[in-house]
Amino acid sequence: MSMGQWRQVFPDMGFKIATNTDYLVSRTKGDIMDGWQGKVLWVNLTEGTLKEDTLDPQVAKDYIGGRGLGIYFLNKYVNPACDALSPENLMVMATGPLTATGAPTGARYMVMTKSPLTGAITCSNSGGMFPTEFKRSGFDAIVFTGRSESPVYLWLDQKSAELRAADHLWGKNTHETTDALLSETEPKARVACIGPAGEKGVLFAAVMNDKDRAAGRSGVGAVMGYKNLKAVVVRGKGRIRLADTDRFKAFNKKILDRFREEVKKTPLGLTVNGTAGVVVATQNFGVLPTKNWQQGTFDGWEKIQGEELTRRFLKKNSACYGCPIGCGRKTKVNDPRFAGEGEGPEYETIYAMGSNCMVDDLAAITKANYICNELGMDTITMGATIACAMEMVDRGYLSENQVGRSLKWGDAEALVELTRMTGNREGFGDQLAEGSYRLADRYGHSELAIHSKKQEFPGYEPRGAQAMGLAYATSPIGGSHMRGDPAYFELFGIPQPVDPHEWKGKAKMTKSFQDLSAIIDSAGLCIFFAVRNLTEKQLDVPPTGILEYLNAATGAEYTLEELMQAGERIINAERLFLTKAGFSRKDDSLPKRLTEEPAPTGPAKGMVCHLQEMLDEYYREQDWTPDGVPVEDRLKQLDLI
Amino acid sequence: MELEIKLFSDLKRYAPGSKNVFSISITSGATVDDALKALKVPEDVPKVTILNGRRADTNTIIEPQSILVVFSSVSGG
Repeated sequence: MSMGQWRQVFPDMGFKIATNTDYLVSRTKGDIMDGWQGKVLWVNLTEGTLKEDTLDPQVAKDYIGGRGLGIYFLNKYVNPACDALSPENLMVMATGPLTATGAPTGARYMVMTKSPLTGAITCSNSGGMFPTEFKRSGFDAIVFTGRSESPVYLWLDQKSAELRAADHLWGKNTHETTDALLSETEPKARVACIGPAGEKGVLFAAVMNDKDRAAGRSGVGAVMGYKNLKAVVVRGKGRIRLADTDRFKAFNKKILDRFREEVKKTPLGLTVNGTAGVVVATQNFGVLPTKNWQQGTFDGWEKIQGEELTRRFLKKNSACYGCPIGCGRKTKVNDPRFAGEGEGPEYETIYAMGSNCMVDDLAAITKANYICNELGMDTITMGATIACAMEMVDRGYLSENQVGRSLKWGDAEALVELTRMTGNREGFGDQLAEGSYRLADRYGHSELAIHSKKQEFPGYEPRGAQAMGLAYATSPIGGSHMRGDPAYFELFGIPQPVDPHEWKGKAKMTKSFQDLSAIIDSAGLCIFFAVRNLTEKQLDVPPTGILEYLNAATGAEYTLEELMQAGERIINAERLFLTKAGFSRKDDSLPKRLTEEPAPTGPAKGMVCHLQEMLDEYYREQDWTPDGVPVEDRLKQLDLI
Repeated sequence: MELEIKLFSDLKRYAPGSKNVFSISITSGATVDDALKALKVPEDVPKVTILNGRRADTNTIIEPQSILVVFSSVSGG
């Protein structure tokens, strides 16, 4: 596809210049598919117009929904070389065919766009109640194009959709924005919005929904802020029509009965301590990133682990729509230095703001998490960027004068204060707002930024968990674990325990988990339930449970092979976008700290991550060239060219 | 010989006393399974076992001066 073809797409879309109230959802029984709603809402922010389009049934089947649909639209309508913060970039919000169906954890949606942090794509995923409400309003996806001249929000219910002025909301945090919007629309509506961080272009700004749930990574909130789109408010009362309700219900009962039987015997760790329960595993495997990834063990780990969070701050669990796990943490901190109330922290926040900054004060970590939620920022990149700054100060590359305050390892007050300053781009926070790579590079020490494709890592040390390094390096969004999570087989022993120190054979397992994540993310499910309960217990993780749910819901009658191929199609479609944006093997990288400096402590002592060896194996598994480029035959086989 | 054991999360309840870190005596050639049986940890409880920093399965033989870490199955991220 030539550059010219990308650019000509928008005029061809045929946006109607319509007044907002001309818009009506015209869904009638029998004219669309089951499971999917069969409709896409296009919002042209430049023109201020809205247009309803049908979802091509073949595209729906081939790309499933959610993440798959997102990359389908990005490949079709976005020039991969464009500036992420330009009107050329699209932002897609997409649910999956299982979202809002009642399938366990069928509560997810995906925010996809070109990332201003990485220049690659985003796959920022969130649950809560907003995605279900969104789908019930009648659409599978909303595609935002262009840029509004002034702040607006989208109000969408089953009868109408309109863009409304949002000048009065600009500057408000995510909680204030949500409350104001519920009062001026409907109290039962659901809100996804940005906070001041998104408005001010913090490169890792999040899109927050239901106040404290985050489509957190890669700066989706900065794109939304650039587009002057403050919020999306949805109210939907429609039910999702299922192809075979009896079949769906029977399978759902079987899966849930089995799940409940198992958790009756042993309570699920995720329910008891949330994701924070993972600290005990990473510390004892020696893969808890500490001191800006210098080591994989943290002396203060027992003060920041899940049991402490439960004992000290947990008020109650919270669950997304249709979730039998309830890993969310409603918490309250009474410590007067860090008092507050909200949701979190998750494991990733605890690593990034805790061990990685050598902060063992769980109250401070929780408070910094609340600030990120309210200002609308990704906690992983925030914590990892502060850790990077701490090391720069420690090594004398950055003075405390430049920072404007002391910034020593373990400084809990600095963590909280700098988080607040970053969300508002105040003082030194303006530099932190660019993420660790740009911060370290600015002072000539990019080697201290622990990232892949300029995005910081989640909390699993690749020197002691080899496949995790491969997953970070090859993730289409840069450093991430959610696009194929080897922690399951390397640390949690799911579906089978695998030695985390071995690198041989890991490429095949990692690819299988990446394909699986593409299916889960596209179906509208959560990885926490699907990996354990909806796949076969073998290392190529055939998604037989997801297959049955999808077929009962949609009637699309995927074969297992077709569904697994859809996962591969999505991964390759994403790689195609990255290739056109200029990414290749050189960008599938890890910092030298992890590939050349042996781990100094813990069970992985003396080890490095064998990335290059794994990459060779991985590209062969993918049928990509040794430089990581998808070959033509493979793309043809997947109907991508 | 002595084996140091560290129990975490839900498995703390199988500690013989009030402390989750303690030592027990085992015979030479004993396996991880033998140690878990001594603590009366049911076989079907989902758990992760780490012996001296490496993942261990129930058949792993315990060397002298070992540390065995056991915790409930966790996941997340």
